[in-house]
Amino acid sequence: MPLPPSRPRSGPRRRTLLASAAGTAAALLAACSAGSSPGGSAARRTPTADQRALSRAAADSAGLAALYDAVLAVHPGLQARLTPLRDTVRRHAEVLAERAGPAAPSPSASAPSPSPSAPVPSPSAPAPSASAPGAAAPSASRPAVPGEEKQALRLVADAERDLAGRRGRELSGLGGEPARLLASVAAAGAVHVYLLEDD
Amino acid sequence: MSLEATQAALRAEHAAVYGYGVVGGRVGDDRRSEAREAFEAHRARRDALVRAVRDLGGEPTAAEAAYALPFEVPDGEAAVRLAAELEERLAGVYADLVRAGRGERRRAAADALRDAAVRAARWRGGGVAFPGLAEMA
Repeated sequence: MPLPPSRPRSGPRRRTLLASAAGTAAALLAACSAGSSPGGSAARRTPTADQRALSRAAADSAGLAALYDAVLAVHPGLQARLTPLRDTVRRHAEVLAERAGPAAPSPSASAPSPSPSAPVPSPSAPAPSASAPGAAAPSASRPAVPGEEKQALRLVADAERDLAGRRGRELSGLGGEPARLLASVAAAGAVHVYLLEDD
Repeated sequence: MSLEATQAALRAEHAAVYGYGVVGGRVGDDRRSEAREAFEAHRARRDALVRAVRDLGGEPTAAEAAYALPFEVPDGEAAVRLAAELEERLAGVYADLVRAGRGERRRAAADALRDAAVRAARWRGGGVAFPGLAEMA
C-alpha cells in the first residue's frame, strides 16, 4: 500500500533548521574552548564543558522555579495548577546540579544566567498586596507578575517555552548522557507549556 | 552506536503505527481526530527513520505483521491508555537516540522526544518529571 505524502510543515521545519545552525555553532565553540584536536569527536569532550552546561541548566531551572513562586505569591488561586509543575522544575534543578558534580555551584547559590527571555524574580520578593492587583512594582531586572491570572499563566508558559527552546539548541555541544538528560528536561518544559496553555 | 539506536526508534515507530491503528478503532469520538493526527505523525517519523537507517548504511527493520499489545483494549478508556503507553515508550527510545546521535540527528531525536512527551501528557492528562528516562521514574 503506497504511503501518503507527508504534509508540508514549513513552520517546525524552519525552526528545526535554525535551531540546528545555532546548535552547530555552539558545538564549534565548545570544541574550541575545550581545545580538542580535529580528530576528537563529541565523545572526547572534556567533562568540564558538560559540567558547566549542566550547572547553568540547574541555575536556569532554579530561576524558573522562583518565577513559579513569585506567581503563586500573587495568585494563590493557581496553587493546584502550578504547584505540581513548580515541584517538577525544582526537581530538575536538583538533578541537574547533582549531575553537574560537586564542583558545581548549587542552583540556589549561583547567579541566574543572563537571559533576556527568562525572567528570574527573587523568591523572597515581597508579593504585592491583594488590594492592588496588577500593581507589582516593576524593576529593571524583575518583571511584574501580572494581576490577571491568565496573563500570569502566560508569563510562566513563555518562560518555560523560551528555556525549553534554548536547551534544545544547546544539545549539540554536549556529551551523550548530559544531552539525554537535558533533552528530557526540555521535553518536560514543553509538556508544561502545553499544560499551562490548555484550558 | 547510532545505527542501533536508530533501528530501535524505527522498531518503536512501527509498533506505534500499529498501535495507533488499534487506538483509532476503539477510541471515543471525542478523541478520534487526536488519534488520527498522532497516527499520521508517527507514519511520518517512521518514514524519516527508514531514511536515516539507510543513510547510516543499515537495512531498515521491517514492520511485524502484528504486535502484542501490553493489555487488552476493549474500549475507549483502554485505547487512551494504550496511546499514552505508546508515546511513553517512544520517549524512551528517542531519549536514547539523543544520547547516541550527533548534530542534526540529535536535534531531530530531541524534537521527537518532546513531541512524544507532549502527546503522552495529552493522553494521560498530566506529565512526568523526566520524559523518556525510565531510571528517573
